[in-house]
Amino acid sequence: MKILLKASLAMILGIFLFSCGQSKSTIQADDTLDRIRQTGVIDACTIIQPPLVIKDSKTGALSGVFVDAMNLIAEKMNAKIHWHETTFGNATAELSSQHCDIAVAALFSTISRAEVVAFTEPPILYNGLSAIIRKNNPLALKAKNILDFDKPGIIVSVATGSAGDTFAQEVFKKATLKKIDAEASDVARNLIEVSANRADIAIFSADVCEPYAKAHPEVTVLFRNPPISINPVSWAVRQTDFKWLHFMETALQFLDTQGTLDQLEKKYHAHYIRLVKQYRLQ
Amino acid sequence: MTKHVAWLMVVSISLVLFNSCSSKSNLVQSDDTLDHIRRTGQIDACTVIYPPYAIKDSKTGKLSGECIDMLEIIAQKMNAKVVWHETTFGNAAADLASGRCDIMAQGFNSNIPRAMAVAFTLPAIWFAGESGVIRKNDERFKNVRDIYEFDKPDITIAVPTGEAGDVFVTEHFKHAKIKRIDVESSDISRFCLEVSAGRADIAIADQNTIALFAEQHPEVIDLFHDRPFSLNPASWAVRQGDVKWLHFMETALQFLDTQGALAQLDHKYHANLMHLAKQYKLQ
Amino acid sequence: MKVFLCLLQVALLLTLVACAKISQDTQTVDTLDRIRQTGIIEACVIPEPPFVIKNAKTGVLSGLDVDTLNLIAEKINAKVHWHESGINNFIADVQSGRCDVLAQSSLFAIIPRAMALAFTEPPLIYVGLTAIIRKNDTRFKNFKNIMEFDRPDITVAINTGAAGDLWVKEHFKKAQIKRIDTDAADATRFCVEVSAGRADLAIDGVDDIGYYASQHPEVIDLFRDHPFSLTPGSWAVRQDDVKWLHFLETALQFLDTQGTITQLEKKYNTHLLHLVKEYKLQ
Repeated sequence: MKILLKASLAMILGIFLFSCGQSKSTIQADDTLDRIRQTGVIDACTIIQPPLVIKDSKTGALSGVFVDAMNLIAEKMNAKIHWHETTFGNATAELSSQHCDIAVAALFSTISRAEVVAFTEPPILYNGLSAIIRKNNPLALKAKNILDFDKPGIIVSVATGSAGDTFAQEVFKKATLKKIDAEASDVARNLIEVSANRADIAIFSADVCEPYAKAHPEVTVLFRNPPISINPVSWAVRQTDFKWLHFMETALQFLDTQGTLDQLEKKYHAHYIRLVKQYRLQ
Repeated sequence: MTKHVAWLMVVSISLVLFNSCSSKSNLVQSDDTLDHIRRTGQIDACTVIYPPYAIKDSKTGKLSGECIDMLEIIAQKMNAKVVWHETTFGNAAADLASGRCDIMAQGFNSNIPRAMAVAFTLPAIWFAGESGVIRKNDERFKNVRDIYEFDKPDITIAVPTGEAGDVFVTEHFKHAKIKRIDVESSDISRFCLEVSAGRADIAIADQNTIALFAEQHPEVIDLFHDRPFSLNPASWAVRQGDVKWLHFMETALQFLDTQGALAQLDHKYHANLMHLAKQYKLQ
Repeated sequence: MKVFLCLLQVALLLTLVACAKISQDTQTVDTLDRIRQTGIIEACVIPEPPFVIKNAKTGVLSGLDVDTLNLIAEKINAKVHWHESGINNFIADVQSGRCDVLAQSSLFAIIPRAMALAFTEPPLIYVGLTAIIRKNDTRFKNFKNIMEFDRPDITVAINTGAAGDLWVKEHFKKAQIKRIDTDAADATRFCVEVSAGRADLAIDGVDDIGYYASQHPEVIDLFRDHPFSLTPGSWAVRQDDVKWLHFLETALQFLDTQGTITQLEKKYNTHLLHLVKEYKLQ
């Protein structure tokens, strides 16, 4: 009896020490890839942002450069996708909570976001920051640099939490910043401030400024090419999902090499900034 | 003790112990520096004084330079502060392994033997070619175009012990006399003085060290300034198992590069190391 | 009480066994650590000149990939144990641990394969496709795009299982496909079909087609300067072998930067497609 007790205590101690040794320097890795192999289902979050992610207003069907690309990958995996719509503000939380296993969206792979999610590297494409200004604003023709707008009395409209917001906060010292909360259904709300004469310029990503200017003849786009700044765009997964991350990087690299991403941009008349790649026989 | 309580204890102890061992086949032995920084708000970073990438003010001891600024920018975006620790290129891997620091924030040549000991951020941040200084009035080498022309028995080559120049001549030169000079971070270009003093014909090292010396010493010229040879990729480094921190750092560096921050710092500090040329095009 | 302690003993023993298994599992994903201890790299290859060349008399291996891994091994004071594998069993060979790397840059890093193994990123080479036609065949004088050849009246000669075969399976719906088995000694046998008038077109990688066209003035290499369908080629390791994967990626980057890969291609008189890299001072 005493022996049994001592042996039990010894084993408990041993296992306790072993588990301590494990947990101190051990990360519990995700294994989304393995789960997809078993279930054939990919849970993907996405954010509506044409032409990368388009939602048919009647049918709710998704399409766009990113949706098509992910569908192609899923097809080659013999898997199907369960799409979940989310917002720029919620995407990282949805990943962390495992509501989805990948964010297929035009997320800027910024440093603060990279603290909480793992972005696919290298970036899939690059989105420039541009600005919208009323055509009858004298600065529309005169301004050469975004810093020309950093003057007292000038109102700069940005979408709260966006790359334009971060940029303006870092760069503008004298102009007045006007932050507008935008929702997934109305990402361009801060641009309206310019049309409505409540701001002199609005800063937002180029792919949103362009169609807005086309639809609103009272404004024009400034700093289209070259843009104010270039932001890398990537998809995101959980940080511990190493195998899934590397798999997605390989899959995206494959689509890029094959020219598929180029074809999808042409299909959706998308104009994003891409890294120039030239291939040559050595 | 009742039977029920006994059974309950057996089952609960088993579950607790089994869970603590956690039978997931994808268990990875890794660091979690990123988590540690979230909790403490502090990044322990090693660097090597190597202007203009890390400069130490001789009076105040304050650090500045391209690598210092880069990590400070990243830290600021993480709401963290950097605690800097000085090290040498020779000790950096050990400092990482011991946990003295969690990142080597300096242009560390990402060569194969080192990659066995640390994880370098990929892709390389810099590409450091090599160059050499010769005396300006040394007519013998006026028309030399190829570094291999210096591999002759009557030529003495000064190199800093253990650094890129030493590695290059050790691997490639068979005939020239090699004079290895120990250098410290406080006097990294000491070996170049051998050329100024006439005790060596050429001093070879990375293009940054050579360029800095040539700027300060009009009696020599930087022979391969425009066409550096033997390109070496150089990156920051972390511990190998620190996968989340590694990937985070790769994304952060990529972000700084895309935003043009690295180019701005190159201008600010008149930096001499190369980058991969990137051309962005609107489709 | 005695019964309780006995049951506790059983539970603890089972837990200890599980812990031992965990410990073993963890050890199997650290190839780098094992190489440090044993000094041996277990590598699989598939004979395919110029990537992997097997001397028919001595069995000694050489070639681009063999030399590359030997160079890496030398720098870490290790040696390579070579294992011959095949296109149908390389995945099992790596997953089972028979080898720790498939050192074959001609292995296409395609999505289905990336489900099973981790490919080194970025790709080592790119295989582009091109095609030959008979020089005097005026029917195709104005053809600019490979898809124009997808017609029922056109016969396409293909090397069975090679890059051209993968491509036509996916893209050609109407053309007649004539698959020709080849071996290492006569890799361009399928091109003879065009020279002999038994096929109108032959499709395959720029290296094989280019070599055939250089030796046969009766044919022309249609897409020599702008190959279509680039496919990336990489080495592959087990997916959870994260440290070994990252080490190999760093090592390959080093050799590429140093110009060693280019020198090896010169040594084996081969010309492969690579991404153009230009280094400059900002």
